[in-house]
Amino acid sequence: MIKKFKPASLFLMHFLFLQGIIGQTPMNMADYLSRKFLNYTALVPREEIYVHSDREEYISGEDLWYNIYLIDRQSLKPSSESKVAYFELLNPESRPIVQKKIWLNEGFGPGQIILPDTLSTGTYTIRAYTSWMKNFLPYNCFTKNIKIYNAFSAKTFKGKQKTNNIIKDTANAQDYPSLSNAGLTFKVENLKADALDIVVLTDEKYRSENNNLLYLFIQTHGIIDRISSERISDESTIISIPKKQLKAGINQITIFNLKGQPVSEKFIYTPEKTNQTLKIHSADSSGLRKKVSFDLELGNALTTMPNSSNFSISVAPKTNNHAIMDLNDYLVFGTEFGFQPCSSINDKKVNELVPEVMDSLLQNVKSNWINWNIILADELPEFKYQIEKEDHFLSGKLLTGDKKAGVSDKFVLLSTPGKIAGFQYAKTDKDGNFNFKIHIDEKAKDLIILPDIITKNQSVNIESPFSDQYLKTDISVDSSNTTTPDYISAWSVNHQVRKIYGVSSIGDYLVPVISVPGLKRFYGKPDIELTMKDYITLPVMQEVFFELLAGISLKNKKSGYEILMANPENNKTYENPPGLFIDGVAIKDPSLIAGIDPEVVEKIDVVREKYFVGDYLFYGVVNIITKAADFSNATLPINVTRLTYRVIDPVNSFVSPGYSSEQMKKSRVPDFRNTLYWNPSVKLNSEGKAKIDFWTSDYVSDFEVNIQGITQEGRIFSLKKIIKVK
Amino acid sequence: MNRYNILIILFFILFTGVGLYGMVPVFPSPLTVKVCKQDTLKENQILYNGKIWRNLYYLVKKDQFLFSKEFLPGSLTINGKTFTDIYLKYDIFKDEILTPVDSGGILQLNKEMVDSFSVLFQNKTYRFIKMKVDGLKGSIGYFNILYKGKSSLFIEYIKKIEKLAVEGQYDEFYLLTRIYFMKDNKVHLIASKSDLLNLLGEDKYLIKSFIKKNKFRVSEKLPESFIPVIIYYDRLGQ
Repeated sequence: MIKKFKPASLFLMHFLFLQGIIGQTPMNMADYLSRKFLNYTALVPREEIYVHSDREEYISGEDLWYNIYLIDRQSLKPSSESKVAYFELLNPESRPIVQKKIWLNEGFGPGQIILPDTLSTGTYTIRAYTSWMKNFLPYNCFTKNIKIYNAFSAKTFKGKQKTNNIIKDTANAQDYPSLSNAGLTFKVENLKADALDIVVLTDEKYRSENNNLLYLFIQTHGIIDRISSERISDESTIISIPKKQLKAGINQITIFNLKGQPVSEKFIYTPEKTNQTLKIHSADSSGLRKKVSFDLELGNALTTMPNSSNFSISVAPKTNNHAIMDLNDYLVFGTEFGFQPCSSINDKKVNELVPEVMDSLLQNVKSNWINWNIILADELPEFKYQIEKEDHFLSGKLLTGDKKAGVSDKFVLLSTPGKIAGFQYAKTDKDGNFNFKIHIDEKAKDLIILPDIITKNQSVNIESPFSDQYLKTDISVDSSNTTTPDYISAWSVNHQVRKIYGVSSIGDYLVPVISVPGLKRFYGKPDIELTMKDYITLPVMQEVFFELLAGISLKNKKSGYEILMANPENNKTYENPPGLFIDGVAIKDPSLIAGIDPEVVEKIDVVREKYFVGDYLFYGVVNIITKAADFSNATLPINVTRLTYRVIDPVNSFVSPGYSSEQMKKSRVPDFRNTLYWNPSVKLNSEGKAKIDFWTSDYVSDFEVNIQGITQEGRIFSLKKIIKVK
Repeated sequence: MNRYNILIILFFILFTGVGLYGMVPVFPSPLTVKVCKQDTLKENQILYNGKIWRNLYYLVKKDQFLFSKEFLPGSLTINGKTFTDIYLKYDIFKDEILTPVDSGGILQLNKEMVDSFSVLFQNKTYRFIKMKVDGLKGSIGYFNILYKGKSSLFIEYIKKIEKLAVEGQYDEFYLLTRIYFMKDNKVHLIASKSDLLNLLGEDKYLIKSFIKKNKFRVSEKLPESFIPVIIYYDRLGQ
């Protein structure tokens, strides 16, 4: 038969045979790299957080006002993905002093903390992150140092040891094995107006092993600028890249060999070209207790929907600290590079740097996100923490009695006391970890968590939602800061005066607009809904079951109480007891029900059929609902955890006095606000304008207006202006 | 062709071809992020929430389901969360939704939590919403939405049992449908075309001429035929 084969048939057979082996259509290297890259950036998004605080220096006991911006690294637009931000104030030893969970509404979340008045003078750190960012801690979160002064404990200034400006994520450091002895290097020449020249130097070995080919891949914050295959003809080959192909930001240029291995990489910076500006119109000076008005206006080339913007504005005394990170500058590097440029570029804005300085800065940076070792790997790393888009994750661990080891593959139950029974279970993983999903809202929730099997040998440990991963810092006396600035003593007096007069800037609670789903019984409409007031009063629950609940028995046996239910299908008793609840709280001990005074019971719900919630099977359900419905009539077993839990913390508004009336103007209550004005959510109107009014205080100083903001389209604005109050 | 030639061909197929393709990678199966299994656990708890269903009417002829006694592909919204690519059966005798579970059983889904569902039958998608309407099935039930605008048109499907279990016969399910028209938040039962027209007040004559002009056949036997009339009526009110 084989004699009948012709060359064409053999070729076809050969082709089909190979397809059969490989099973998929081969593609070229450029497609392969771009698909790998796109797949990675879709599955491993990068969130950036920026915190705009009202000041960078505080007196112990003052309020710290802030606004959190959550920005998607790829689009550089406000992100509506994560809904909870974790805000921490760390002491000089990097231990948390204050922790807050902040609700993020479409990428913005205002907050406020009171700095404990016991804090000693020193450099403290604000850090903020989302649940998703917890996967990459202690690096890869927003951090910013602030100084706190305490006039009553003016001991040595506790600073933080100066380290490199690059916060290096060593766990994620790129080290491409193929880089060494690759036989290829390149440099970037920026001598032409409209093009960059990439000068590739190769040796003979590289050229012969790679068929005189290379692949050039350029990306900027997760967006592909260019992917191309390039032919190299000589030791030195110039590849000309039109500048318009490069997005603004840090461009990562990676060269791959013929096998798709990265062989050389460099970072360059393309400044943003924008003619869209934010203008501020206001007087340059004002008197005491006078109204200050300023108008914000988006400048020419308005391309955005202005009313979708969000700005935060602070008006605070001018300080010696000029190294305040703007949102605009911060996002150039972000956590992707873990780089805080302000302290290393002599307080210049990134856009103001000469290219040589920027090039030298970029020589040592690596992307903490775009790591080709991970992108090209067959499997992505496992991520423990998910994006909290709809629900907050409450994590814990089911432990053995000695609390040394986790208990795997067991159910843990979560209940919330109330008239309407909610129920959720989690299953422990191989290490005993479990997660519950909690609806994101501001309400304090009464959570009761218990192991499915109540034994003395198991206990539940609930984890803090805040990460326990902190950067190690060595405390040292920061000699450059031992001199307290002059204005600090004035601020301190201002704060003391306010304290004496009981004046505060903390206003009403800002009620978040979050839709809360209506509560519904997890078991639906029960087969029996027994309302106790419809029947004569019985002395004990045992009699209630006997007289009023046919098919269910509550008996006192030698081993203790038991509740049994008949299967309605055959009237035989189920092989397992029904799911028992008091006020919607799952319990395992029937004696808790037997011990309730029937007088306090309002209703009994019974489901007779087998009932499934996911994989969890109930052999019928009995829920005793008391009049108080707060699970106060039963004692919890020792290994049950009950906690009051808020997914997001309450936030107050900033208030300041107004002096529109003569009476107020003449008020003898002194007004020594250090922060004159704070507004975390200024929106521009449809014409791109906003008007801000506030009143000055009795404090004579130069005040800095600091405006940070971003539009939904990702236009970032950072603006400062000085107003003299005299 | 002798054995050597065959071997040479096989060598060519197995090795030289691979050599040709060796430099061109084949895109592997897509990467996936490994997430904690708890993520899907909660979703399962929302979807698979209900009693084990038992057929109490196996002695009754025909069946209690809408369209088919087989599970139909569809989607379901529970507590605001939508699940697609699932299989459903609508028991219109009890007005309950059933879905199969991995264990081989059938769950009667918790009606208090179901907001809406849809099923695909004979290439047509039927959308049902849980509504409070005093119909044949009580105050709360699932209604097939035909049109929803300023006014709404929906159908109630129900099966009843015809008592025939005498002289060797079996009881038998039979289907009833009712058409409802909702206007100004009031629900009206429509038994005929004239019922609908009488509800449209002063616009009745305009609508009659609209039907006549367009040569529409409007009949309670084909409830969908009411839709263009109601759309036209809604437009008149704008």
